Amino acid sequence: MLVVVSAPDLDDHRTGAGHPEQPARMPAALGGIDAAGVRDAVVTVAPRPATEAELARAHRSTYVDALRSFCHAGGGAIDPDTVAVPGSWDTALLAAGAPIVATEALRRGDGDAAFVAMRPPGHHATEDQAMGFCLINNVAVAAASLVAGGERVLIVDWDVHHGNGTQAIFWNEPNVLYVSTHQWPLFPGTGRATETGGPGAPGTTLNVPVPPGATGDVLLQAYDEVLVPAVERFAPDWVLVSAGFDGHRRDPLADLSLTAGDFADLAARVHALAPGPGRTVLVLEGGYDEEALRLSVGASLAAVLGTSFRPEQASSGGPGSSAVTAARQAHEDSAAAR
Amino acid sequence: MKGPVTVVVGTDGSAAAACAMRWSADLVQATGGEVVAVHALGLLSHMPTNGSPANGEGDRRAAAPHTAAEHRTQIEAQLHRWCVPLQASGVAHRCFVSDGSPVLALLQAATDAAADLIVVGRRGSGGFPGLLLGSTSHELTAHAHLPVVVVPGPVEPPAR
Repeated sequence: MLVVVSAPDLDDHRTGAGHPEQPARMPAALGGIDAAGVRDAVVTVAPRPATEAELARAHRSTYVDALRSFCHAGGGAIDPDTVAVPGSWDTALLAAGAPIVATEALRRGDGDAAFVAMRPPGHHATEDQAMGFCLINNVAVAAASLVAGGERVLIVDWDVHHGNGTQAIFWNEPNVLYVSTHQWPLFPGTGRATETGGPGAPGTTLNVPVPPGATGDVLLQAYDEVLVPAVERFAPDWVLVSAGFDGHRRDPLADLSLTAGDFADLAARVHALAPGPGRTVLVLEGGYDEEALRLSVGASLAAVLGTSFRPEQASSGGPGSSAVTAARQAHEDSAAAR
Repeated sequence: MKGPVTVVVGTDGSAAAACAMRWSADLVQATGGEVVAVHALGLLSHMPTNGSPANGEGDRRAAAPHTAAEHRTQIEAQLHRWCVPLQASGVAHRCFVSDGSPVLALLQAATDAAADLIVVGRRGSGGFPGLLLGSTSHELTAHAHLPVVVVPGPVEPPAR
């Protein structure tokens, strides 16, 4: 069974006409469930707002207070990409609490994996700064809660943009392994292979930047050569996925060449890294072409459930293999130096 | 401030950014040193209806590129024109494009250049006045470990 945490009826984060991060992304993402024909395998769970104590594990209280005040005062443009309105605060709290709800449901035995379809996305938000459409770092809030309970967390970030906020929040946290594949160069400009974790947690950040046009076989190579060996050493208790689907070839914000079939392969590969059933949570991040989002979510959820929904064939032959090899070498050099 | 200074200045092609550049050039003409101009590419910067530069040049939007990579190439070509105030001043300068939010790009550029100060123009269009969030200059003052100078943009006639 698959736990799905979502609440599109409670979505009051209005970004304005022309902004690609729209409420319409939620029905598109949830439409993947029916597209994949897995509705009968879904257990729907309502989100709850994250508490102040939960937020404080990933964000500074001064930032949380400022964001709340900003929204309640009417909101506005936080930066050229990121906006908030009065309803953004409650919506963001729900989005931050939803991955925690997912882990609680899995812990109860409600499903073998979970999918969190909430917005705004989170992986660019740092401990004290909103950016890149993100207000609160949803994955980080959930991971920090698990770590506070004494568990080890793998975060796999396959969004096309580097999750600078997640990386920064766990830079010195030895109980979180953060692994990102992302287009390079591209916003936010972080995520070089040489960024491998702080002095308190060396080797727990792994970045594999790939060039525009990279295809699914390149990311699978990254998973085989970089992700899998690291995970075998790390032995996580949980696998959280920053599941952005803006690496799809039709996405308007980036230039990778992934297809829905590729996301099925990535999801299956990541789910296999979990220590057992009920320990994988996919959390929606980016993905701004609604049809690509629908198909890619459907393909990913089907793969996690062990069924097949591949409306697009996996891609191959794009550039990036040498970038993966270089990243693997950088990580090996970093490990040898420790 | 004595001796040569290194100034990092933000640019987005706007009139306010040009004012900040001229102020930076005047300072470096007096002290010696270098001006480093930075333009940050945001998530939306290549979107046809949301793109930078902030002054909304119609011709650029009409010919909006289709991909982020194309946009980067286009902005790098335009950057030379945005840096005309620096070229006209004759001071030593560099101009480059960076990925990321304006705040983080300026802070990183300042670190890389061992800068003495950061200069930005004030347009007053970002965010919500008086609150922590919402403007590049405000965020810079909260995060920077070096002086930040905010240069007023061109004076606009009062609204009628």
